[in-house]
Amino acid sequence: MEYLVHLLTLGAVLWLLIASLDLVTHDLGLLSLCHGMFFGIGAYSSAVLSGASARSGFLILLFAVGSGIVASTLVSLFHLRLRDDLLVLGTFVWQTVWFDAINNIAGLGGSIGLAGVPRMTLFERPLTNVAFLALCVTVAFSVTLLLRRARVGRARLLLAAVRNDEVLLSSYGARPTYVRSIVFIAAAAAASVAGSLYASHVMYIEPRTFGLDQSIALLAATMIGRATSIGPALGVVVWIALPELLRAWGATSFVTATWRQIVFGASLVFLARFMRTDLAVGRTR
Amino acid sequence: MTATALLNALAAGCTIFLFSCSFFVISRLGRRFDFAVGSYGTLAAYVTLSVIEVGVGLGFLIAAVLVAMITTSLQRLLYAQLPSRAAALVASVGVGTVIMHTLALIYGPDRVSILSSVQVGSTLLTDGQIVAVSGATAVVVISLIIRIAGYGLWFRATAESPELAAAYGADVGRVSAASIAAAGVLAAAGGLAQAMDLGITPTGNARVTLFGVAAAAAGGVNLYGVLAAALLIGAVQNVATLWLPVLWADSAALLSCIAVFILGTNRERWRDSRTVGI
Repeated sequence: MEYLVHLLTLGAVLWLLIASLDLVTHDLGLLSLCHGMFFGIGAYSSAVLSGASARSGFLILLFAVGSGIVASTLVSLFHLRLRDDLLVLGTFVWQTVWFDAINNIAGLGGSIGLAGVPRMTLFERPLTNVAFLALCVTVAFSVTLLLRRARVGRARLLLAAVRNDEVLLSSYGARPTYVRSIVFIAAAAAASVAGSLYASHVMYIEPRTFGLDQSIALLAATMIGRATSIGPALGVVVWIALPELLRAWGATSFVTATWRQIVFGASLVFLARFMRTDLAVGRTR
Repeated sequence: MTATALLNALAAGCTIFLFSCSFFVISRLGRRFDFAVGSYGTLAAYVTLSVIEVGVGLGFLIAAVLVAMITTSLQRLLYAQLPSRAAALVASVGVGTVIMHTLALIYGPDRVSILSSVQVGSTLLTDGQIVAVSGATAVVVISLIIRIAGYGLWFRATAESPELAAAYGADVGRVSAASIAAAGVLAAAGGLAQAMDLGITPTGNARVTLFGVAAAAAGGVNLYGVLAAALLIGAVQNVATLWLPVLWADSAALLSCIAVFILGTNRERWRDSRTVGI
């Protein structure tokens, strides 16, 4: 039962993470390879602050959101004016710099990582596993609903215009880069929330969890969900079920992690055949 | 100490340059960004390691041929069928991931190194120096091919305008295939150089890919610009160890990468063109 609660909690966190990247990839038509960085920023900022203040309340969640917003604003200032392949290069650079930083900074635990991250508290009392699962599901559901608001009415039209014809949008007086930055920052903030919840759940974080491999796997999981029109759910299921199946056959954690990357890499190759020019896969609008 | 750092810088710069050249050629002839160049190099290094009994030279030849076949096959069977440049880029990320993690599954995650040294007269060339010499030689040979040889003319013509080149009698398909194969060999050489210098891990080449891509993007107008950017990154990476802890040397190189990348990516040039150096 405890293990099932653990898997469901991970699923809720992953759902949030994939749904946030989906906003960038599908709705903006941008290919970002640094979403793992925002996930990590949320996790590390929560871990450091909760360690320093010896408590873990919802203020720490807000701090994680703030850190994600600052980092994504920096990225958008430098790189969101770039397009296509160059944007990918830019996000790739940020992801690598981030990974290098958390590997080398002693205060962040270096390559060993940070252990003993405290569980999130409510009224000074640590949440139980089930209560924490409920919190994760609630947060994931609420943030997903918020992100969905970007897909209705005028916002949906604006996003479609940013994705499909920036020149036309500019001629109407709108600022595509501004719109793109806002959405990108919102998605990064959601990823940071996911990171904060993840750190509080597993209570131990290490650099490899937030590296380039993670960003690539996230991208693949997002595209798998979109290609099948099921959305983040399928990405989450593949992400969690595949290692569990391999583990059931006696595979080590290294083998399961490696196979997961191979499957996600192969799915990127396969799904690329069905991509339209704007990076979206599958459904047309 | 300084001379050693400079020699190491030259070696690192040349290794990065080999990857940059591979990326450069694919982006010009294939008209796409290939994020898998680092993994081609890693594959070549591991293949060489697997057949090391036949000697490093012959082993590398086998690896280079294999990688050249893989790059041309991928170009023909995968990338040429894709609907857009964005799709090609996504596919290349996938290809790189599959190659690297398959190697990790076969060989394990640990670092391997192809250690060798050569006695030239009374001087013993170390691994790093061998890398520097082979890299520099490759630089000269490639430059000569591109600048002087007739193939270089066809290469440039095909890269600029395949239709026009075909109208003037160029066998565009063959030039493209040969160039992509050459790009594979360059990446293989980079991988071997890296394995002989600092050693290599199956999944650790993303960083070298980044260095190579940044150098190609920054100096993308011509091969000498790419060389200058690669040497700059290599220099920062190694000379920084004189003042900074070793662990931070890569970070310094990465920051120089960002500076080079931001300075080099002239926005208007990139917006107007859709390919490196065109």
